[in-house]
Amino acid sequence: MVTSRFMHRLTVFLICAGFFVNVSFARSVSEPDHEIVPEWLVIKDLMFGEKNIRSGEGVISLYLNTKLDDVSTVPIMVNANLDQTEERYIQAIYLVVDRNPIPTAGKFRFTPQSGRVKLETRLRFEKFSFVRAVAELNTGELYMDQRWVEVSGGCSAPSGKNGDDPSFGKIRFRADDRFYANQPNLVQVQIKHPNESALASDLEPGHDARFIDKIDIAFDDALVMSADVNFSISDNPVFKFYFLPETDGRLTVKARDTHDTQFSDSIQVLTSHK
Amino acid sequence: MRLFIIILGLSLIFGAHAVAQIEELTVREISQGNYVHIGRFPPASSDNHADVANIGFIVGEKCVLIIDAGNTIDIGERLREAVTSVTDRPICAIAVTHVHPDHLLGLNAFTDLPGLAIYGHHRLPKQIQRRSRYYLENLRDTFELESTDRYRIETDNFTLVDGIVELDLGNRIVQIRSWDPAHTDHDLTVWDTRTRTFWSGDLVFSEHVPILDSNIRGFSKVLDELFEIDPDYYVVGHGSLDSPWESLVAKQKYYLSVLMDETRRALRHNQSLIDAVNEVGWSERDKWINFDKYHRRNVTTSFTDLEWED
Repeated sequence: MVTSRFMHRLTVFLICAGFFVNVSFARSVSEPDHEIVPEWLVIKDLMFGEKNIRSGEGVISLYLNTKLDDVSTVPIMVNANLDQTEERYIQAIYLVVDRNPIPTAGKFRFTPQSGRVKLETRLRFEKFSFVRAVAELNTGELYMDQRWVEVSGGCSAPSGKNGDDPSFGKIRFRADDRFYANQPNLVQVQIKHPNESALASDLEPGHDARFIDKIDIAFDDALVMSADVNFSISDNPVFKFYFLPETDGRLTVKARDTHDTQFSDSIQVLTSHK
Repeated sequence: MRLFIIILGLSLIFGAHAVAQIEELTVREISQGNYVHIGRFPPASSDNHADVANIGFIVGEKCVLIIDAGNTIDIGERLREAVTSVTDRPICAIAVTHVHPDHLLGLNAFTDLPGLAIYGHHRLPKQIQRRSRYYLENLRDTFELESTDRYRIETDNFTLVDGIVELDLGNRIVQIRSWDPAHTDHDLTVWDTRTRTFWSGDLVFSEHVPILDSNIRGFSKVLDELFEIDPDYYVVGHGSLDSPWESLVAKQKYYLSVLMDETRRALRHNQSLIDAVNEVGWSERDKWINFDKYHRRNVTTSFTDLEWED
């Protein structure tokens, strides 16, 4: 299990490593072998050490459009083909964009109360890169699926699309009209936040980048999903996932940004039986 | 002899990768004193030498206003030469219509001019701050440049526009206007009052699919205003200047309305963005150049705005 302190140190290291590999490989555009690209070897060693990472086939699938026309907002979806049981479940999904300034876009923790693991969010991309989803099971097994993505250049940029927004901090839930008891229900959480890039060159001098770094989603007292994230996630972050209500209850989201501002909201979930 | 071969070899290596070695930038006088260079279509590549935007200038009796600088310093320099070929009046100002690289990055071809006023929307400097690193890395990679140092843009001396600013080029008043968020959140247009020529920047596209980089609801409202402008001549950011103004604006307005309606429908059905980009608005595909390259991006911008609508 990777601790958040380690994640932080990793992040700092990877910003440096990321720059190094970005510069050296910026110009290679055809798809390389995903297992031996140099930047991945560095990231893999730091995140997972010597552990064996198996092909995700049958366990985890990653979907996205691989020709990017808007690098600020790239929707991705991770689907698990595995039931979340107490005995065997996915306890974390790591999203990695090899050639981003911070390649570790997020660590998302799940529980058996997640019901089923599906994760949708939106990422920023800097350049041609592999994007990877690594599933970590409670048994310690690791499975990975990956895609090679091509950035079409042009006039989109990773940050800056949306100006200052008066509804900063607003949270919105999106779900189907009904929730069903004892079944995985899909819900989406959106947070209005600029999620600023922390690259010094993207910022006004003296300004500390403001981005969301922590999110916790709970149903009553049980954790459903919790994530360590950074500015590889697009502005106005969106997360879509399952949760498994046994009965009526309250779904709560708590988020925190790097300026130590807390954001929170909740909805009452009334379940019906199918 | 050996040295000569080495030099020849080096020049072949570097020559082959040189950016946008455009010999000459052809300009056309579309109305008295308004000169336009019609660019090719984006995205910028080594094939088109980054010559992918419509840029130009207006000549007054006193001096010249440049409108957009092109994607590279090379293109900016060719535009400067084009000015010299038609007038001996000096360049006194440049209007940057928005942050996109094909309109902005050639700016430093002009910044050595004494007393040059650089007009930009009041939100332009912030966008340059947030995007120029990425744009310059892209430029470096696309054209295999050793360095992009000479492209660094200093925004401290910009003349920021919030509303309408009038500029007298000598017996010719031009109005430079900033707009609410539309194509980008910092669009700027130029209106030559003498010939009633309107320079729309990327608020209007011709032939090429419009690009939405800010706010679809705002863009739609701005198009309503543009429809009423009734120019005698116009310059759009991309594409030919052959169609009637009203039909161009109406066609673009229709595209945005399809995009908006279908995005809202996708949101009502809780469709995910990852699916919506392949479904929303695709009935418009046959009407536009580069639809497959840029339409998904427009859906993304539309979707990520409208998903916050009450």
